[in-house]
Amino acid sequence: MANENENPGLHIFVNRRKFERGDGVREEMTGAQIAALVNVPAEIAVVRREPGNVPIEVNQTVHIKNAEHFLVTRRVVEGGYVR
Amino acid sequence: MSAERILRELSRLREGGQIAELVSNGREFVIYRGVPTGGSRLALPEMTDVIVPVPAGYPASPIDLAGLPVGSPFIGRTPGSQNNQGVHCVGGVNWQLASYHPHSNGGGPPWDQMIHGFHTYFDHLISWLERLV
Repeated sequence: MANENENPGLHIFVNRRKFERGDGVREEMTGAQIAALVNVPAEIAVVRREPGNVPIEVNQTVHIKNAEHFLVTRRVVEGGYVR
Repeated sequence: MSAERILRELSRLREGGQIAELVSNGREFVIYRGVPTGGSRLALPEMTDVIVPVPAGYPASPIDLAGLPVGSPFIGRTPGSQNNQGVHCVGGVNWQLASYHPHSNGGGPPWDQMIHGFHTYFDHLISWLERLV
């Protein structure tokens, strides 16, 4: 049964894309769960809350505010050389 | 190239406040405006515009490469940008493409046209601009 305090329209933006409850957005989420929304594995994810670029550890649980923004980057970025 | 598909992908970013445009100089490109960077720790701009060519045969062909305005302070600092992949004049700006291939050993997943597009390529651009040297 749904909690009457839950906002059915809860959504967040990760890397500028909108994610909703059906995508896995909840009132409490870990950094790893936020990273998973954009398919970045927890072991290489860097999660930040905007504005202010506040870092969130992958095992840290945060309270989600409706419509807030996160950025998720990966630690592994390789440039190419001669193709 | 499916312009309709690309515009649909870019509209997903616009919903989150990210402006990106499909442009042409005879060849199609997407220009992402004001992409966040990790520049502040190096006293560099916190945002920059980035260009990405639309590959021939898209979406069957993977999106590849990324470019910055010629003279950008991020050239030489982003992975692969030491390897100039060509300069293109688009929208009155000269853009230098870098050797960045996120879907082929650049750090991202293998290309899947059912999942990936110009909306998900933004993920790779912010990672690219965060890992500055």
